[in-house]
Amino acid sequence: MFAAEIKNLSVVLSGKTILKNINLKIEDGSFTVITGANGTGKSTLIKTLCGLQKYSGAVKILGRDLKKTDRSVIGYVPQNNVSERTCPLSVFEAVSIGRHAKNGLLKKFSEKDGKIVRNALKISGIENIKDSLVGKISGGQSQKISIARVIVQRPRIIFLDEPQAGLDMESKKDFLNLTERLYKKFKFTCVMVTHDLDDIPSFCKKILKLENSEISET
Amino acid sequence: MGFLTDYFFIKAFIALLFTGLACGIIGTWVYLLNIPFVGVAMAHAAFAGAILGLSVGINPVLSAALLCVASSFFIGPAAEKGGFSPNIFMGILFSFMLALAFLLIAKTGISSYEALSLMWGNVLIVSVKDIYFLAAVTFVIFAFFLVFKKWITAVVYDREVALACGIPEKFIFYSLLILCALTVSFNIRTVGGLLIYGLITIPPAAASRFANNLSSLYVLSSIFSVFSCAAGLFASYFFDLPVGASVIIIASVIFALSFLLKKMIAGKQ
Ligand SMILES: Nc1ncnc2c1ncn2[C@@H]1O[C@H](COP(=O)(O)OP(=O)(O)OP(=O)(O)O)[C@@H](O)[C@H]1O
Ligand SMILES: [Mg+2]
Repeated sequence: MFAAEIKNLSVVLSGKTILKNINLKIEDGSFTVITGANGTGKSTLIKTLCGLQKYSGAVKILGRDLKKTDRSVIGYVPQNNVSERTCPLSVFEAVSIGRHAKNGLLKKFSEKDGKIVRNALKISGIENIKDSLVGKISGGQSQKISIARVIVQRPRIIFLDEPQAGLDMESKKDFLNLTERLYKKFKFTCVMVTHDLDDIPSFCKKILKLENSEISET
Repeated sequence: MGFLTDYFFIKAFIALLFTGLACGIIGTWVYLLNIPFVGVAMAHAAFAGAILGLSVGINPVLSAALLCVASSFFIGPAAEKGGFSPNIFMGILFSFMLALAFLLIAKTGISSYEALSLMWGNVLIVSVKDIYFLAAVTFVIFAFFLVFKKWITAVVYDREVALACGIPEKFIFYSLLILCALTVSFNIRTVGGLLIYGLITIPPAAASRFANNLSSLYVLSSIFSVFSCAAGLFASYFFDLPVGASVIIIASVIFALSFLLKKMIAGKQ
């Protein structure tokens, strides 16, 4: 079974073809990097695979049609995290959203869930700001919230859209270590968009390039 | 203490209690979703709907609710990301609704007094049936809030993130819009179609100056909103002022005070 199977995927935004007949298979447990110039449609592809974008063609996630799949198996780390948020949630609460999504509406947030969240805060390096409001933190810190939120969601496949953008040198290194540890620990499938081909994990087997609405292996 | 036995006063007080509670919660959602224009657009849709109701001879509150709920299905897609600014779209919708209302007023011989009373409201003449509507919508808002709290939190935090982690974001978002539409239209006779917008916008804005978590935002916003309603009613009773306008002026004063108070607290630190 493939983690993601994409057949003839096309995306048109306001009359403009952004992605054209993309065919792609992502193996279960693999680590894939997607690269390409600005504006080529990398984010559009990621959003589409996370079910956030209308498309034509067929997308299967873990063997099931994307439209019918349980979304909590998909983890999404968006590009350009907003740091000016109006919602007065603490970092802890924002990360817990991933856990609530996993648990569903009825299950109470248990002691164990709290532990999972605290652990994710620790490994993402934001334990020290867990009580800060999400509207009062930096862009890089808010990127880490997204990562922690995805960790607690325990998805099977994770899409990261330029997760290293905005991180300082130290955090970038930490991030690579973190991905490596998480990848080995949870054995999820990972698809990451990045411009920084020097900074990709050693276990990444496949680098794809998006160009002229089409995708090719490099 | 004549007001304690005044039937009209007591009825108005009960109606405004529900109004205040409903607006405190609804307003917080509108504030968090950062869609203030939704309130304006809906207020005008409710006004046009009520005028429409009067001109064809059905209950104006019901026709207001109908047009208002229908408009949330135009407002929803406009508030989605992408395309041009949703605020421009809301501006167009609100002008259209206002024009429609004026057209109906001109052509159907509705008295301008009657029309105006729908804009400013007059809670002293609400019917018992209106109070039932208000109580029902307030109850539904609280029930919805309690049942879907986790999902609502995720949606008001970040709609895209909520959708991506598998929360039924569309269901929550549209439910919030519809509850807002019902609140606005059922209040067309209490605070009035135009002023209700202020009661949705001002209390959460004032509350946000002090709230350092989500629960306190809801609670403070509701307190400010209920207080504005009650104080507005007393002011109107004792000084013979229009109720809706008094309510909004008191809410605005609370907002101004919240600003000053916050500045003073910040200055001391
Ligand atoms: N709502 C929209 N309507 C029309 N075109 C859009 C819309 N959103 C994005 N686009 C266009 O789609 C193209 C792809 O955008 P996308 O964000 O996917 O690029 P990207 O590869 O992620 O770029 P970057 O490296 O800057 O993040 C861009 O050319 C952009 O102009
Ligand atoms: Mg991008």
